[in-house]
Amino acid sequence: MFLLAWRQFMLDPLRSALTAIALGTVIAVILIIVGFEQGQYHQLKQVVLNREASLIATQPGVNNFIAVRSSLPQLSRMEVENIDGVVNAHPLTAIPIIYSKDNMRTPVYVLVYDSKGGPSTIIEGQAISDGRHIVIDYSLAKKYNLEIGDSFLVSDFEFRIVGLTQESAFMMPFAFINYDGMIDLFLESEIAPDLSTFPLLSYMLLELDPSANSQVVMTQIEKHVSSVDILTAEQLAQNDKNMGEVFYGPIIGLLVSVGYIIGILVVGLIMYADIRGRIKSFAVLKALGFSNKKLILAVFQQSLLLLAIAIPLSIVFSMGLSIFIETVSPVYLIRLFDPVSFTQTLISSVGFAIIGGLIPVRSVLGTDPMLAFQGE
Amino acid sequence: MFIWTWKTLFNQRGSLIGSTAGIACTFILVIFFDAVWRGESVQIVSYPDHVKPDVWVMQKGVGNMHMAMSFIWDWKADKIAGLPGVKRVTPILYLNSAVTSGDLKMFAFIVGLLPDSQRAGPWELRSGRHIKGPLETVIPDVLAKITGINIGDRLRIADTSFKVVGLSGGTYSSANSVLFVTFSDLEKLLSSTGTYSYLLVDAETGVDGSTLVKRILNEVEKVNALTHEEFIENDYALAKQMGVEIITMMTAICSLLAVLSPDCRFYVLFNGHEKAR
Repeated sequence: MFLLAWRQFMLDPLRSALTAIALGTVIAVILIIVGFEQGQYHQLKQVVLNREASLIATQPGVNNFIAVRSSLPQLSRMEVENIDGVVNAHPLTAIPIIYSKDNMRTPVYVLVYDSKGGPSTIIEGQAISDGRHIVIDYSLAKKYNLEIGDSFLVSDFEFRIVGLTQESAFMMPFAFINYDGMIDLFLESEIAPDLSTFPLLSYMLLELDPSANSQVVMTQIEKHVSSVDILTAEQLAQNDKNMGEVFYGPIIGLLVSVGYIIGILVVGLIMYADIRGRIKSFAVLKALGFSNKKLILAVFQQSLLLLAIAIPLSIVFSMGLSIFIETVSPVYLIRLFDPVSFTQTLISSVGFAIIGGLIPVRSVLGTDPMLAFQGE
Repeated sequence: MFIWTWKTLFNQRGSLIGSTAGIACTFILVIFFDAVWRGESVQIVSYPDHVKPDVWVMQKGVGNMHMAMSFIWDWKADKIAGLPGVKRVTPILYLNSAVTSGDLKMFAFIVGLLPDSQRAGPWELRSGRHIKGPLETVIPDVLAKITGINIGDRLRIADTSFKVVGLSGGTYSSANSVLFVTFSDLEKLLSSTGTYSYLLVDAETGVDGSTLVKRILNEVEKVNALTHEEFIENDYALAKQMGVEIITMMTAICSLLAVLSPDCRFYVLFNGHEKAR
């Protein structure tokens, strides 16, 4: 039967190729949408994990890193460092700002760091060595045509771009400054009545003694320091991912569902049109004694054959599209090959190829063998 | 020619309907993607759009509300209230944060209201009542429907538990729902005193918003003032801008799909006709 499906498929190679391309494009779009979703989750997690701390202290009740405000009392740092097993509590402050230039506005998450928690990689330029220095995400530089050495204005306070990094999450690029820069920004720009209005210390990245048991340290901190909550970096990253799922899940889920429906229709309609176009071939097969069951099986095999050719095409298309998207707008990460979602998409594609294959079944069943003996 | 085309198309009605439906479906994806984002962008500016003061006053360097942080001295509100042409100044505190209820977690705009500041509060109360005392909150009715949180239930903002006393209409967006709490509760959450986030300035009858903006910027240092229209435009532009690149690209991809698939289907369809003839 497979040979029959293959021959049907090869009867008109151009038509079959176009059909596979159409199907491949549908799957590629689904892969891109799912890859976009997975990319967002990955970025949300990485932003926390890139800070390279096993334990992270937050304001009590604050269990996220992105898009929340965490404010810790200054004294809490000393209290945490007094706990056995804690070598250092590296301060980290998060300030959301809206960067504005050339009539464009972009929310930027500024991370203020001291001894740890700075940019995970510097892809161009250098790290911060002065309060006026700033390292910004590559996507922000690209969007505003900013280069190393250019000024970066925040509330009239001028930073100098010294490096580019690749850190963004939640569709927001990140920027990094040090504490000298933050204090100068607050004081010189006189943007607030007093410094205490701003969260001067948002998080602490805990560096533990290599011999210390992190669970024991967590318990000790929670017992003795009431002004902080302690989470593992993995927990905080997972919480951000969970929050991202609440935000993106319904929209992406809906888009993927529409994509699958279109996939089913494309397979079904292409197969229907294909079978209508080859109705005489089916009539000949019926006249030769092929049963309906065998012909239907051939249709299914043909749709699966189409899928087998469409899948590699879709992977190539989606890889090309994701490279294009990431080049045009580097703030987005398209994570195509997340093992779970990639497998799910491929399995679902088999599902919609089978369901789509059902659409032309009626035409096959209704084919009159007499058609085979009618002239051209 | 048209009649021939018409007849050819209708020769195989099933194929025609199928191909047309296929084209329609591929366009659905394009339209749907765009519509989702546009709808969200509109909902994101729902709060500032409804409270609608003549002028918005905020921290210097800030020009919108969505994902922004703004703090201004409280005495500046008094100074603005004393300016000619100003009818009323309504200060609000504002925080963009995560809200938790049981296992549910969502992003929210939290607006802190002073007593008697209902002017900046929910514009449509679907059930329950407005906030009166500490640790009370009004949440969007859609959020209540989705999450199952109802009047009398509790939710947490950071480490503070709030009791839901009312459900408001038109304040839900999947990106950021608007929750209302008392000013003092939000002040405690932000660990701030003597500051406001935004000032909603209403002009006296006959006073133009842009005139008032100039007056405020001349008289009060280190603040930004915008007419309501400018403020909304900034907020809407930002909300849209955040998704505009991805919409453009997804639309381009879907358009490619919309072009490719029908091409294939029409090829198949017409090729089918050729062979059938």
